[in-house]
Amino acid sequence: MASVDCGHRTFDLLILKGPALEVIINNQQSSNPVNRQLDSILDTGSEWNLIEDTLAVAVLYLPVIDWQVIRTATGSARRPVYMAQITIPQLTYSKLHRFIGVNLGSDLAIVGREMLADFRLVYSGRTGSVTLEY
Amino acid sequence: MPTEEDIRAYDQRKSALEQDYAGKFVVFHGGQLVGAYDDFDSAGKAALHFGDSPSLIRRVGESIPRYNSISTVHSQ
Repeated sequence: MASVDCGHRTFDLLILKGPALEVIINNQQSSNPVNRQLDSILDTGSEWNLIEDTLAVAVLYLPVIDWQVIRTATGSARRPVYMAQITIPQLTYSKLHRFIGVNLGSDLAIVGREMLADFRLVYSGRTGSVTLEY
Repeated sequence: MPTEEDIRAYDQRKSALEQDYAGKFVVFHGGQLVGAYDDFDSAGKAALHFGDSPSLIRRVGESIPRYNSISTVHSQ
């Protein structure tokens, strides 16, 4: 089983930043192909994968494959659902996934439980170590 | 983005889809059901056969998504 380090040097950095991982996003579009490295946060508190909406639209040109009404702490909103190929080179993992476009405040993706279902996640809060295995 | 035709086609067949394909990912293109798949990766690959032409991909019977992401309180 291959693994990749998603943690930080100390426990307090892990508290501050959360488990993080660089991924490669590909839009799978023949007319305007984009392949880009992107920061992501592993978030077991999120059912779906999420992506910064302005990034998805204006930089990655991700295709919209659905619209969904989502519930957040601040209410409900109708948001686009994008499709992208997500690759984790260290794990030789590459699959198509869906991402809800939301305002995250910075150019990143959130890897939620829908994608984490493919992996084993080992979280050591005392040391700051987090390992993702596939 | 998915056409209104695809969304309308899904809504019209929703009850039958929930009976036959609960939990599967379905692909609609041109107002027609293309297929039902066990995972999103397989459904996405089926949709890519239509090139950049838009398709609808939806999980049958899915409830309204909810997120309470740590990112919403994450300090940079």
